[in-house]
Amino acid sequence: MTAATTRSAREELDLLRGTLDLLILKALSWGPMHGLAVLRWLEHVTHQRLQVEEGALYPALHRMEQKGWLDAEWGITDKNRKAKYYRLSVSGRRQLRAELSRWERYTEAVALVLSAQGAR
Amino acid sequence: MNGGRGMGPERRAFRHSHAGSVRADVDAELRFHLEERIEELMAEGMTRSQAEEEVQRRFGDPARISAELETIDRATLRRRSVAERMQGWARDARYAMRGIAARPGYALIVVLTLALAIGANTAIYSAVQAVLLRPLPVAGLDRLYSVQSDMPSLQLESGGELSVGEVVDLTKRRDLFESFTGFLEGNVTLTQAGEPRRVAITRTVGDFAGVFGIRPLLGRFYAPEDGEPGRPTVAVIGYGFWQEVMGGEPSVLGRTITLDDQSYEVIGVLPPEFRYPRQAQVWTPYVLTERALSPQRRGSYILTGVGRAQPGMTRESLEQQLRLEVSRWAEEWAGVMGMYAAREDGQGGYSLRTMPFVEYLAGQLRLILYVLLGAVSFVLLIACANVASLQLVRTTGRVKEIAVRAALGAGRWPIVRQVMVESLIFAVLGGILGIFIGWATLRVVSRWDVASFAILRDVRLDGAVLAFTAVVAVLAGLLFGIVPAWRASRVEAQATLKEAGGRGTSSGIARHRFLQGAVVAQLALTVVLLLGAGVMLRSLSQLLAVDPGFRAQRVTSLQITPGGTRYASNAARVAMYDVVLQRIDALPGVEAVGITTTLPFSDMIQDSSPFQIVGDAAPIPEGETRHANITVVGGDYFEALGIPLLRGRLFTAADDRDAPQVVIIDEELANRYFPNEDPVGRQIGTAEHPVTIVGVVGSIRQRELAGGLKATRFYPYHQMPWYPWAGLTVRGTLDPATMSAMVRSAIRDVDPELPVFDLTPMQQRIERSVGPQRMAVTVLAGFAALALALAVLGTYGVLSYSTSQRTHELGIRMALGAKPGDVVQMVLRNGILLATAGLVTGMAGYFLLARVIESMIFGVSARDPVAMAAGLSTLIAASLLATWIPARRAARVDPVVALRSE
Repeated sequence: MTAATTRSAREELDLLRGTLDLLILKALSWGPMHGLAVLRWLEHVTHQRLQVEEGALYPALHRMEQKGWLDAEWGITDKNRKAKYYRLSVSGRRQLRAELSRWERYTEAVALVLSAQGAR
Repeated sequence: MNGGRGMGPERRAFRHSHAGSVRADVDAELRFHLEERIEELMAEGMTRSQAEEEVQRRFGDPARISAELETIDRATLRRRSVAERMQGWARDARYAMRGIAARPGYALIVVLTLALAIGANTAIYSAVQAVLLRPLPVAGLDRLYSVQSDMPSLQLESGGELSVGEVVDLTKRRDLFESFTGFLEGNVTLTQAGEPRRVAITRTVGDFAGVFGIRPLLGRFYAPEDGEPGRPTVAVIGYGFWQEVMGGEPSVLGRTITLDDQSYEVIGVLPPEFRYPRQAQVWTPYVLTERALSPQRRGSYILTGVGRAQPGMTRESLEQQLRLEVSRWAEEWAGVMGMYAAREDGQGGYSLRTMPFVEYLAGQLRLILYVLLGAVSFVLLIACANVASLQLVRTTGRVKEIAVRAALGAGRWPIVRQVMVESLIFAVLGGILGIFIGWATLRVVSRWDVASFAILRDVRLDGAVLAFTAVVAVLAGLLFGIVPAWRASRVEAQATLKEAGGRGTSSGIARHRFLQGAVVAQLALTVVLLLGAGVMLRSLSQLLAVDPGFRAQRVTSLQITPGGTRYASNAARVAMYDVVLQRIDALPGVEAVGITTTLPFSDMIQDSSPFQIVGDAAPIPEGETRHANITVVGGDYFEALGIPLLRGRLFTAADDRDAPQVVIIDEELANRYFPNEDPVGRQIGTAEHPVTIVGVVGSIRQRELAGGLKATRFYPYHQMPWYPWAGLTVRGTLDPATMSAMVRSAIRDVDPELPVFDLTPMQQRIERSVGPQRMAVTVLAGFAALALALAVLGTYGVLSYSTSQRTHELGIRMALGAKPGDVVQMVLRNGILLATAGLVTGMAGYFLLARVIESMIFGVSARDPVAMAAGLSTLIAASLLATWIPARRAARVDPVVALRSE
C-alpha cells in the first residue's frame, strides 16, 4: 500500500473505540491467529477501508486474555518464526455473541434516528 | 495472507509461568509484528531504514506499548496464581471436610477438646478485658492516676483516702494534674410521689467530669465551683436512674429531685456506659463549707482521689512532686497537725502514693487475672499437645495414601498444606464452639456464685474478645497441626509401601518419640496447675480461718439512712434509733441488737482522726501523731457481734447526752498507745474536751481478713449523734432470712419511710470479702481438673496406641515364654516412666513459677507440703489408672492372633 492510499483509507473510517474488541472476537472466531494476522484479516475483509491503529491492538488482545475471553499459545508461523497465537475461549465465544447482539441493537437504534422523517 | 489461520502452528502451550518471562514474551510478540511489517514494506520497495521508520510511525511508541502490555500481563499472572492457590486451598478444604464427615466421632473429640480449651481462654480474656484493659469507657485511661494517702505507722485502712483539704490543695496543682477530683459515696433518701427510696449518691470535689472525660447524654455536668457554699444545689443523674426513676423523659433537665429533704435541680444525665463509681445513681458537688476545710477535718480521710496527669508526667515524676507537696504541707500545718512532718526516725512518715487508675480499680484482681491467664494458656497447650497426638496417629492411618502421593512426585508442601488445612478447620470449629462454651460458662458461673464472681457482671462479648478467640484458634491450629503435617511430609515412600504401617521406619520411631514427649509435656503442665490450685485452696482456707475478732454466725446486718427534715436534728435521729433498737430487741428470737456507723465488711465509711492523750507527760514528737478509727455505736453492739470486753465496762443507758463524755477503745489502741498501763480511767481528746476511757474491747477486722488491725475508738451515739447514717447488727436464734424479714417490718412500724437496704447476714459479708480469692481458686481448680482429664486421656491414648503397635512383638514374646505378668510390667514401666518424667518436669516448672503466686497467697508458702502432696498424689493416681488399662489389655493378647497380625 502506498502512503497515499493509507492516508485516504484512514480518512474513510475511523474506528470507534470499544468496537475493537468486537472486531477482534469476530476475527478470532475464524480460528486462532496471531496479532498481525488479525490486523491483516481486518484489512482484507474491509478492503483496506478500515485501519486499526496498530498500537491499540495488542493492549486490547492482552486485556481480553486477562479477562479470560482469549487463550494464548506460542506457535511457529510458516516462515518459522515464533508468534503468539490467540484463540477464543468458551467465555470468549459467549462474549462475542453478547457483543454482536449489542451491536445490532445499537445500529438499529441509530438507523431509526437517521431514518426519522422530518428536517433534513 | 500470511499469518497462519490455524494451519498447524506448533502447539507448545505454556502460560507465562513466572514473572521473569513476561518481558521476554512481550518483546518477542512485538518484535515479530514489527519485523513482519518491515519486511512487507521492504517488499514494496522501501529500504530497511525507511521501512523501520514507517513502521515505527504507524505503530506508535513501541516502548510505551510494551510497557503497557507488561503491566497487563503481570496483573494477569498475579490473578492467575492467586486463583490457583485458592483452588489448591479450596481443594484441600473440601478434602478435609470429607475426611471429617467420614469420621464424625473422632472429629467430635478433637473439636470438643479444642473448644473447651479455647472457650476457657475466651472466658478469661473477656474478664481481663473488662477488668484490666477497658474497665471504663474513658479516653486517655492511661493518664489517670489514683492518689492515696499512706502512713504505715498509722496503718490507715482500706484505700488510702484523702481528706477534703488535701484534695482541694491537689486540684490547685495544675502543673501536675490537668484535672483532679476526690469523691465520696453515700446513701440518701429520695422522696417523691410514691415510696421513698434509697439512692446511692456520690459527692465530688474538684473536676470530676474533667478527670473522667464525661460527656453527658443530656445537659451538662457541674463545674468545680458549684461546690462552693451558697451555690444552688444541683445534681447529675445516671442513665439507669433516669430511665427507672425519672421516667426517661428528656424534659428531666430543670426538674428538681428531693434527696434527704434537700432539693436538687437536675442539670444533666450521664450516658449509659459511664458507671463510676459503679453503684452511684446521682452525682452532686460536695459542699466545701468552712467546717469541711477546717483543721479538724484535715485528718479525716474520706475522699477517693483520682487525677488526670498532665501529658508527659510519669508515675515517678508525679510521686516525686507529691513528696514535695507533702513537705509543703508539713510546713503549712506545722504545730496544728503533726502528721505531715517527717518522723524523727525517718520511717513511716506520711506520703502520697500514686498508682495507675486502672490498677487501682482492678485491685487484687489484677494479679489474679494474670495468673489465670497464664494457667489457661497451659490448658491450651495441653489441648494442643493432645490433639497433635491424635492427629499424628490419624495421619499414620493414611500413611499408605500419603506414600503413594509422595512416590508420584507430589512436593512436600501440598501434603503439609493439606494436613494443615484440616487442622485449621478443626481449630476454627473448635473456636466457634469455644466462644459459646466460654460465654455460657461465664453467664452460668456469675449467676450461680454471685459473691465470688461479682466482677463478671461487666464482662461483655465484643469485637476484641472475638478477635482474640480467632487469633487463639488459628495459633492453636498451627501449633497442633505443624507436627502431624511435617511428619506426613516426611513419610518415606519406599519403606512405607513395603511394610504396612511403617512401624520400623525412622519416621515411625520419631513419631513414637513425639507422642511420648507430648504426654510428658501434658503431664508436666498439669502438675503445675494442680500444685497451683492446691496452694491457692490452702491459702483460701487459711484466710477463712482467720478470726475476725467477732462471731459472725447468726448475725444479720443492714443499713439505714435517716435523712430529710424529719431527721435533720441530732435529737430526732437519736430518738428514732432508741425506738428502733427497743422494737427489735423485743422481737422473738433476738438476742442482741446494736447500732454502728461502720458495719464490718461493708462499704460503709470508716471515719478516723488524730487524737491526743490527755495528761501526757512529754509532748509527742512531730510526725508521730496518734490516729485511730472512729466508730459510733449504740444499743448492744458489742454483744450483738460477740466482741469480747477485756477491761472496764461497756456503754450503758447512763452514758447519755448530759453525762460525762466516755469512750471505749479496742485492744489495738490500748497496746499501741497505752502499752504498760491500764487505759481505763485515762482520758483522750483535749484538756478542754476530755473523754474518759471506760472500757477496752477486743479488736476486730474491719475490711478484710488479711492485713493488720487498726486502732479504733468507740463513742456512744447519744454523745456523738451527728452521723447521718447507721448500720444495725442483730444477733438472733432464727435463720437469717426470717430475722431479716422481722427486722425490716419492725423498722417499718417505726417509720415506713425509712429506707432499709443492704440486708445481709454477717457471715455472707465475710465470704464476699474473699470473693476474688474464691473465684481464683474455683477457676484454677476447674482448669486443673480439665487439664488432668486431658492429660490422663492423652496418656491412656498414647499407651494404648503404642501397645497396639507392638502387638506383633508382644505375640512373639509370649510365644517365646513370656508370661502375661511380664507383659503387664513392661507396659506399666513405660507408663510410670512417662508419669515420672512429667512429674519431675512439672515440679521443676512449678518451683520456677512459684514466686509469681507468693504475693497472692495468705498463710502458706508456695511450696506448702500439704498442697504439693495432694496435687502430686492426684496425678500419680490418675496416671496409674491411665496406665493400668492398656497394661491389662496387653496381657490378654492372644499370641496366635498377635503373630498373625501385620
